[in-house]
Amino acid sequence: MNKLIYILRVLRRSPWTTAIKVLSLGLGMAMCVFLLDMFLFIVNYDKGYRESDDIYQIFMQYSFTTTGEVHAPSEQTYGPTARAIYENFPNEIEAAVSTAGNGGKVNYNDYEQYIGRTAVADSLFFATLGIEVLSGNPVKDLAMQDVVYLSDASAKEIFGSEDPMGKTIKLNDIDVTVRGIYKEPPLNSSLKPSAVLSFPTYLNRNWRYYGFNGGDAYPAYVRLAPGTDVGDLNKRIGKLFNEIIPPVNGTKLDIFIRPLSDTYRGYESTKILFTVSVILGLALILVTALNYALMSIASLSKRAKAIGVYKCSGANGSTIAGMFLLETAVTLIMATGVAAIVLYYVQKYIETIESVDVRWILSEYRWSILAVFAILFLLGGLPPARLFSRIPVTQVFRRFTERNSVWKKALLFVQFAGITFVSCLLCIVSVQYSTVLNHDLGYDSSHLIFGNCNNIGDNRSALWNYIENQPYVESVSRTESVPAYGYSGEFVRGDGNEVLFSTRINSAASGFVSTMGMHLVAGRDVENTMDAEAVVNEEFMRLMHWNVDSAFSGGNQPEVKIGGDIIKVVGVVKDFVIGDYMQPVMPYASINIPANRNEFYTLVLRVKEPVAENSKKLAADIPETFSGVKASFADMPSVIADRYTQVRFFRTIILVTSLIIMFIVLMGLIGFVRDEIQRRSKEIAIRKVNGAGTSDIIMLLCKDVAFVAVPSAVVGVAAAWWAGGLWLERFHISPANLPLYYILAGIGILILILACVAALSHRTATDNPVNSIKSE
Amino acid sequence: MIKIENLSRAYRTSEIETLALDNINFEVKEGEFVAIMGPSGCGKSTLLNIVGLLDNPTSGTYRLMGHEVESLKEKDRTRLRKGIIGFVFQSFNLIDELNVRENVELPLTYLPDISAKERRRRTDDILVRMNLSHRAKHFPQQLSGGQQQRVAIARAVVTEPKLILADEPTGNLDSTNGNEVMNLLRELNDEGTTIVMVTHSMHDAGFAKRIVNLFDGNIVSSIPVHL
Repeated sequence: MNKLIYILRVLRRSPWTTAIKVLSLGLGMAMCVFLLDMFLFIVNYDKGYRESDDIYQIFMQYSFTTTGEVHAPSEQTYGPTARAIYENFPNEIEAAVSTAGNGGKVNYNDYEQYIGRTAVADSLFFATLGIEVLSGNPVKDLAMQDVVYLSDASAKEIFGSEDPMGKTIKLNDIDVTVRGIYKEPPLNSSLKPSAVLSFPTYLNRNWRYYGFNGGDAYPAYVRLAPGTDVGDLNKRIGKLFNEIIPPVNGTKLDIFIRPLSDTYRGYESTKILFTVSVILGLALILVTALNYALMSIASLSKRAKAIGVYKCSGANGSTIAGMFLLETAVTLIMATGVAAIVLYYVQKYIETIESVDVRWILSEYRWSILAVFAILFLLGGLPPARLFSRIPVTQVFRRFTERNSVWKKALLFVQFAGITFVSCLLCIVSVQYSTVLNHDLGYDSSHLIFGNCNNIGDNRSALWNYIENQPYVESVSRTESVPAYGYSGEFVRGDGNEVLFSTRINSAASGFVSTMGMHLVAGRDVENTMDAEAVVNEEFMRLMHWNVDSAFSGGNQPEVKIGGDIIKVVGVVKDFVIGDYMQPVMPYASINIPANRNEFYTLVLRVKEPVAENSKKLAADIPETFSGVKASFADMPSVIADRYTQVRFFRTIILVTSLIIMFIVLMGLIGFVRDEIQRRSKEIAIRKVNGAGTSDIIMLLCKDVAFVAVPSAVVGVAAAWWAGGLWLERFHISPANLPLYYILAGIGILILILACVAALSHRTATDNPVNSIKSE
Repeated sequence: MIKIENLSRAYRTSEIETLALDNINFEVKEGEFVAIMGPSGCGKSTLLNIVGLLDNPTSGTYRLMGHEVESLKEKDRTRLRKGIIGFVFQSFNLIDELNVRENVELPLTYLPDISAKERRRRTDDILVRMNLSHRAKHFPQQLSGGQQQRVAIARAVVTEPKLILADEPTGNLDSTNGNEVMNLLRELNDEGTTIVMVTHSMHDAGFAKRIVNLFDGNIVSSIPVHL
């Protein structure tokens, strides 16, 4: 108890230093907790199911013997695949399920709400995934039409205290009966539906195709029996499907299973998220802990005498170390309070950061703060405790401080490297974000809006004319999808029906090319005729080995077989971005919507400024003019920006981490420089007496810090170069003059550090040297 | 060389004002060797600091080699001091992290237009003269008190200053080393360097050509020494 009181007095005696220590530890701790939680979120992904290691996902992979092309494995497979595996391997497979997913609007009495995730699944859904069923008999119920199971959370939200069993709700305007309740899986699960709709509800209405002849595909899963040899099973599954779907025209289909937990962790974005959270977390925890150690060691000059007195009075090294560790523990407890307050407010006011559910992540792993506490205690507390305990009594009363500078410089080195690393990374991620948003997409997105009109009824022609004639509408066209959402694939076949390659495929009406602002490099746009015509991109031409200049010479229009149809290619557009810059350039073909089809599909409009207001105006005017018609529009730049949500998330995380590290490092630097100035006050005075001016003294101190800062900046830039390289690998474009950004960021940090030193040393440099010499 | 008229220096705290120098007049001609004596707290060191441009007077005028310097800013005082004034302190004030050569070379590094070669030559010359060549690479802690003070004098004269200010240069030395240091100062004075020395020792003051006595911030006497 006496020791604790002594420690509290020590901390109170230097309130400013204690406050800085607590604040920097607290902020560092809060961010470390968040990054650790992110790490745990990824590591535990899909581990929330019962016996999750036995759950495997079914993959489908196409390869082409004619071209040697092998497609990436698809996470979706043909509808009956799961059932075929289940029926053919009864000893190895305990349960199997095919699912489909979509969003859902629920109506019940006055309740009307969109619930985010709805799975359409067959009767073995819960058995396969090991999701606990709280009530109901899913094997029986989910085999029936118009049956729904609700998660406990959504049942509570929809029904409150009312018993939902047997009640009828509207799910996407279909009347379905609640037959069961299940425990909703944690958020870090691939399948975490709020409602599970029985498969027959869809199949009996022919809303989805369920067979081996292409068309709709389904995510499918199996639960293995314990002890199953997966390698052997995969060979047998491959053999089975070789018989069910034999190779045809050089196209081969492989079916195999992989652990479900590998799926999420195998995504490039997950790998990056994992790497970034680990790297930033390590950098931050090192900087936070070592900064505390640095500030503690810096105080050694003041405390050496007290330690000497303790030692003279009989305290041994362990006693001194114990005292210091107790002080570290007390400081960390206060810092934990700061971290808890920060995290509480983050949780209270920030539900998500760029679609990442911060609130859930922080509430799920509350104990992680203790882990961070322990790491900081060991890293930040032990080195100074050891140093303090080893001070020889014979030296504590004179000039001990000079022996510590190597320690301090080593700690500064790590801190400077850390701040340079995250700052460079921040610079690169920000520049890359700006690059992907501002780079030429291959079409002009600036005045584009797109959307749908529903419940059109007999108003189709009038509505089209109405839209087309609005003064702020420059042009309008129809399309199956827009580039930012991507397109589905279709095989391009040769004369012998062999697969040449797979192309992205779209259906669009005449005027789509000009409305989108695509660059037509040869030929013309499609026309609304009954003859199948297509506009393709340059990559398509390259894969067809067609020359853009000669293919259309003399009015020629080459023909190509896409899917099962012969299509006349009438024009070529410049390659454009499909999806986002994380996707490679892909071949693209846009086939005309036949003249007899006047559905709106997706409307694409080029409108005048102000785009947002005109978009809202159109969506509001249509229902007023055409009763019952619902219209909604989105502006293309926002949708494109949404594609880079994860990029923005990383940028935000790195920005916050950088600011915290910068704060911590500057606090450490201020402590170091103040200590150095105090330690070298006599030297500074002597130099001044011998002719050194203010600038000489500032240079002297800056040079000392630069001696540490320059090599550490080089290390930080090199580490950022490596980590930034990992990040940029995901993109198919990167900023021009990339090395320049690393160098500029590194130089920027050096300038910041040296400016800080210069500002701190200016006062000493202008002090009267007589005072320092006198005090000696 | 030094002309001080009606100079005062007061130190103020929130409650009291202490007059360290009270309206003094003081002159030192080129080539003189003046010893300033007096009891502790009489203002000797304050006067030396003002003469050495380390401090500014509260009032009065001070002309150093024809320059009005009493109200110069720190930057200008540093510029004027460089190469003109050399300092010798009681506690030597060598920089522990620098070796003998580097300590001696220190003032030259702050003078403009002196090449590294020239700095080395001048440093070597002065080390030879002070009989310190064999100690050039030693650090201050490895030297005796007398040797440390010889290094301090070497540092003070390496720029060939016109004025040396010595603040109790033998205060930390035994009599043998003290005599050695005083002989050195005398030698420098004989070569034309003006020296102003603060001392408590009548013995050391005997090396000077004139003794100025201070008491409570006033000059009470200025007596030539007859050698």
